[in-house]
Amino acid sequence: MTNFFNIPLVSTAISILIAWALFSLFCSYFHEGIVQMKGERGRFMRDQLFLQLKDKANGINWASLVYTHGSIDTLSNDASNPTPFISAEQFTRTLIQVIANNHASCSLKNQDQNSSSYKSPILNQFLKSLQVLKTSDIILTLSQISREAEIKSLNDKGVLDEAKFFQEIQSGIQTWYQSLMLQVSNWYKSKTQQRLFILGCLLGLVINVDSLQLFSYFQNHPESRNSLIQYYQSHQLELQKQVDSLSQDSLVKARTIENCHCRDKFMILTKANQGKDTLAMSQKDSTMYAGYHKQISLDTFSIHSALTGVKTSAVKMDSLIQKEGVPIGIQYNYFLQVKKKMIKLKITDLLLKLLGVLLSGLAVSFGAPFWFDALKKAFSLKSYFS
Amino acid sequence: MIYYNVHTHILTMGNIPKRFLNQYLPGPLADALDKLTNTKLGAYIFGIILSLYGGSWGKQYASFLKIGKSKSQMDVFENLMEQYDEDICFIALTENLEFLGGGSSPSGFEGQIEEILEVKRRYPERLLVFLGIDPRWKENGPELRDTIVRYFETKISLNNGKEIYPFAGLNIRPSTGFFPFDIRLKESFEWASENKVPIMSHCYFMGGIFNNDESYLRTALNPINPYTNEPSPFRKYFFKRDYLKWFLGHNNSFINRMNCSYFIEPEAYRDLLGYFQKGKKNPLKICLAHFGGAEQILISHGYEKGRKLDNPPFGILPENWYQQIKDLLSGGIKGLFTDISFSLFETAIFPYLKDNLNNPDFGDKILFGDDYYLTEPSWKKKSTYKNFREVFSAKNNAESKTLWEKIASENPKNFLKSKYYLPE
Repeated sequence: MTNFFNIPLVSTAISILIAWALFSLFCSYFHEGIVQMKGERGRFMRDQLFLQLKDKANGINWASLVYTHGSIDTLSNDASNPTPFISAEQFTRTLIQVIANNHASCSLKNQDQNSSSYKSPILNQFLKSLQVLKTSDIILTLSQISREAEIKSLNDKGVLDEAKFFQEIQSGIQTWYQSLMLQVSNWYKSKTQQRLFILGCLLGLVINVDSLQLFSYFQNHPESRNSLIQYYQSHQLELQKQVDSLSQDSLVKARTIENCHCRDKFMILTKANQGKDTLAMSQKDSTMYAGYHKQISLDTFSIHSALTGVKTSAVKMDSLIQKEGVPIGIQYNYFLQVKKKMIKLKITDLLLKLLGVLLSGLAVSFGAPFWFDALKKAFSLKSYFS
Repeated sequence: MIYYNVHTHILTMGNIPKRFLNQYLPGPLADALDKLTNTKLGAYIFGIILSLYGGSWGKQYASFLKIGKSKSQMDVFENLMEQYDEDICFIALTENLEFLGGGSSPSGFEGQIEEILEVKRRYPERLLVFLGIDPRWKENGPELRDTIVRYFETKISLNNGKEIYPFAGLNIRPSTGFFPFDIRLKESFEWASENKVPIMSHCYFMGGIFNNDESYLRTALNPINPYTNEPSPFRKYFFKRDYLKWFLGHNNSFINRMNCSYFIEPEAYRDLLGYFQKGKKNPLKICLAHFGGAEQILISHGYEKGRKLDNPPFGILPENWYQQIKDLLSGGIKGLFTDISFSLFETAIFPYLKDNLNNPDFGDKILFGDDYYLTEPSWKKKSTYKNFREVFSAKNNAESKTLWEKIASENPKNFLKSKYYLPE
């Protein structure tokens, strides 16, 4: 079975996989650099919240009020770079406050002479606001959460436990926010995939990452594909680390939004274990703590690390390409070669070139983690067979 | 002594319609500008380019971009306070631009109000808020009035437990597509007159925000005037197709801007003002801001500066707007005011302004305002204000008060005094 991996077609395919993985890594770093510079994650999250929390019936965008509320406003220092992270707990507290205290509903509440039903003023104001504001998607959702919370808070005698009621409302809003964030995360993933595809095509065209050409090259140069496989094997851990720093478990690095949930848990865990060291925690807590801590430390990925990543991976890939003579680099650019009259312009060649580049772009759109996972599986299969 | 800057804006890009720029620029350019200026670096580079090479429009737009892209109204207001001395109180105008034809704003109009009230809670002494109203905001006149009354009557709580009225006046912007004599505003104006609530309106020839929807304008130019029983003079939509602009998606904004002059020309206020002079009604306190505009002031005094169409200006009454406002002011109409906002940087008007302030008929009707932040590059703002204050603070032997005290304190106090705001 060991010979199976020595079959030229199989090792060529593995080489192509490595090439795609490395190119995807390079593009991901490039993309990440741009995203960090533009502060795009925070803006994407804000834009999506603005879209979802727009209340046309009442003329208010609740997301706008949440973002301008002191507790959230202090999380960012610039309008163009809003915070990419709002915990579910913080979001819930702020949303309840802005709904309870907004002038539009206060002015309507003034007309309502009904006496307060609850001891907590904020709960009272919040529920009254839901009653007096016009029906909209968001008001409807919150009213439904309140009704469900009310049912859950009735004790055996059928009397409402106010503290539990408020807690249930908060927990209901938190759950709703988390599911909204999950959806936002999916939208962000799909957007990133599209952009990685375009970026992969563009970069592929400029530096000639033509999958078809690479395939035929590796097929005809067994020493190159062996070197590439050796390179991957000797740098596997290091590359995996780089991939981890870009993304934990997803196709693309939509970590900020996804990690909201993780951070909340981390905060709760930290709070619960205050004063204890990790050894004193339960085994389960300790493992979770370590996991969350790892994820949060990965969040500290910065523009600097993105730029360093681009530079490091570019230098390494360049030296490998130079050494093995792989036809990748600006000097192999199709149009440059035509201009320098090194090759003749042929429509069929051009179409094949574009097809090859599109394939590379498509590969990039899957993201580096996908290809490194695939490689890991392939190599574990190899070791199993051997 | 407290001085008042009666005309400022602290709204951000989040408070204006998403497609606001598309109203005035070719679509692709407006979209590109919006995207480019989303980042701090992009906005900075673009601001510098506009300031250096964009002429007066570019400078204004650069300033608009720099400040308008701020995080919140709180940031804009704090920036505004930095430009001025601590004895200045600011009137910030909220703007209902939801019916401009550029779609709805990201924050929503009521959202804009909530934001500014947060600023009011933090700076109750330095900020007076004027509620922006539009006849299209509510279904009908009574509903509009009831909403206004509710907004005015509901007090806001400060951190110290004190409760205050949130609003001190109303703001209308007829150039967005309605006449000041709109029937749906009548009940609200009657309430304002009863309670002596001041109203800010805008009267700058060919300036400011306007409605750029040709089909809307064609239908909105000839409404019924509820203050007279006579038919209103016919207003013809001025039209000239510029195919290049049309092709670029610019939609002939110059033409629409001209047609919007019908809404804000001083003559459009005459019947409304006259109505509140009759009987036992309190006169309506209304400020025709900008005094017609700096260009109109200069043209009126023989300056050649200005566009070809400026003289005579477009409108039902082809007369200089500055002159028209002066005529209304000196015609004994009570409650009428004007301000000099947007013209502070034009030092050539200072001598005429001094003459007007010394005029016994209407010297007490002119107010100080600067139209922050829609005027000129923000880094010049402080020097413009300082210069104005210095020039107008010179002692006049005949009067015990300086012209600065008159324009920035005495006159505004008369304008602002109402049930909802009592100046010290």
